[in-house]
Amino acid sequence: MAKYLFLIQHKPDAYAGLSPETMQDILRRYGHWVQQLKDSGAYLASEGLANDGRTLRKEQDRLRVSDGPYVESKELVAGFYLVEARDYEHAVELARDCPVLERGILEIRQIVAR
Amino acid sequence: MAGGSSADVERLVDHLFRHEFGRILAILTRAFGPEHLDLAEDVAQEALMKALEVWPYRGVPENPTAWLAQVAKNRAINVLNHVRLIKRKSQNIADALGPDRDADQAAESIDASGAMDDVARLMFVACHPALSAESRVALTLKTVAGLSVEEIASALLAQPTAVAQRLVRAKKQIAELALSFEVPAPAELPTRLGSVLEVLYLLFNEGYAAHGGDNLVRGELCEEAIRLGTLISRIPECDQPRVHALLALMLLAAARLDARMAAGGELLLLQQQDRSLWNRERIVAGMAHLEKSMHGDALTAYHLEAGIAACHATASSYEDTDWAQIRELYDQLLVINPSPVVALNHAVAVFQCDGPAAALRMLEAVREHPALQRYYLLWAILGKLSAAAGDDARAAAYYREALRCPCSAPERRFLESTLAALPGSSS
Repeated sequence: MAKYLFLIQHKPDAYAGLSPETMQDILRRYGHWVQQLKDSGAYLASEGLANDGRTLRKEQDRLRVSDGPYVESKELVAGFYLVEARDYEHAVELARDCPVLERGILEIRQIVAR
Repeated sequence: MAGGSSADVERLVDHLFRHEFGRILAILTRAFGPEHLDLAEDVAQEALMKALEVWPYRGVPENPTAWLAQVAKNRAINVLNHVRLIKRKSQNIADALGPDRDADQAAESIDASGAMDDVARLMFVACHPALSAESRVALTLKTVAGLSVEEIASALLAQPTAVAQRLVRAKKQIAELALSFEVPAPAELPTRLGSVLEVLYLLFNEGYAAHGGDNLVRGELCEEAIRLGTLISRIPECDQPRVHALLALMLLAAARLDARMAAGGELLLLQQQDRSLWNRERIVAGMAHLEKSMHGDALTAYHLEAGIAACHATASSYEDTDWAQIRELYDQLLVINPSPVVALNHAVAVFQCDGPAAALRMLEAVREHPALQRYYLLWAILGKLSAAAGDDARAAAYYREALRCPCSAPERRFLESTLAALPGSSS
């Protein structure tokens, strides 16, 4: 078994203008999906990430801190799930019903152990 | 913290977000003033969107209502501080906000308990008689009921752009009216309450016509009208006979909703329905409201319609229905509300009492009414009466006319099967 990170990515405005009923429906589907992860014993952890942030880079030995990564038109990491799976094939199987896929993308990265 | 569990999903009770949206919006409208309805809507929407950022990863909180209220409260206080900052710069906005609005207090009052009075007050704002009935319906659905523009358009069979324009106009009118966020004063209350009841009645009828059809949002309007009517009836000033009459009529009619549809999705007439499927709880609640509606000497159209619904709800079978009583109630209803639709229903009662010929004679004057030409029930009833009178060819022509009118999918299937069952209609 290895650990895999599911990176949930969608545009910052992916939920703008949705009706309350649709929003609740999305949450209900997340609830069911996470429950599946837990029932199969794959679930380890998850957290959501705020849209704003800081980007640090060094320019000619001087630290530059900029606001971001907020970009209206780009898909950003909105959160992650850490799961345990046998291999990528299994991880894909676990991820396939994730509700993000209706309005964004899901990237799977294996946690490097050795 | 853990992510979702099955208890998580169970905490997301049906329509939680819609109802919370209405509740939070009501309290925010008190804080910001009815003229800032747009701002209040934005903040209420943001509170729900915050849940989408957090709950997928941390699970649904123990008390979702309290969680949403807390988020809305924090956001509202930010907005109010921001507005106050601008206020120092612009006297106009200061005037618009008014001097004595204890906004902080209102923002503080956003919590998990109570606030249902505020929802009723928001209804009085959204249903102000200065707005057209169409605008009132749209605004009530958008604000109190938490529907999106698309959902409203679907519920009212209108274009989304038309609904959006209607909402913009209505909000502008409300800003101009400079309403206070209170239950109207006694002098104003009869008119203002009448306007609210009219909207509930319209919502209910829209839903009743569509229930069980392919259009889910439309079908849910009955439940929403009953929910909002119940909220209104709990406001002490609105604890009035006509409010109870409307609730009685909605509950008694809604008791039959589930029995109207056969397993295959076809529409069942009153005489075909399995009366054991009628919702007893609703009938009992409806009769209790009917009882309360009898206090005082007010007799409204709601009273008469509730009386008719009660006749059906309490009859043990179609044959045992007290048609004479129903006919009498329709006689009175026609005096109060001489609409062609009432005349049409009156004719059905006459048919049950005196046979098809008498009913057809009554309908001669009604059938030319311009408002009924695209109303499938006129043609369906004419078809039924003609068939009962033995004129199958004419009946078939009427049913074909009914099929040319707008109606729900189950209604359409019903008309088609009735037409097909007529002798000599296979041509």
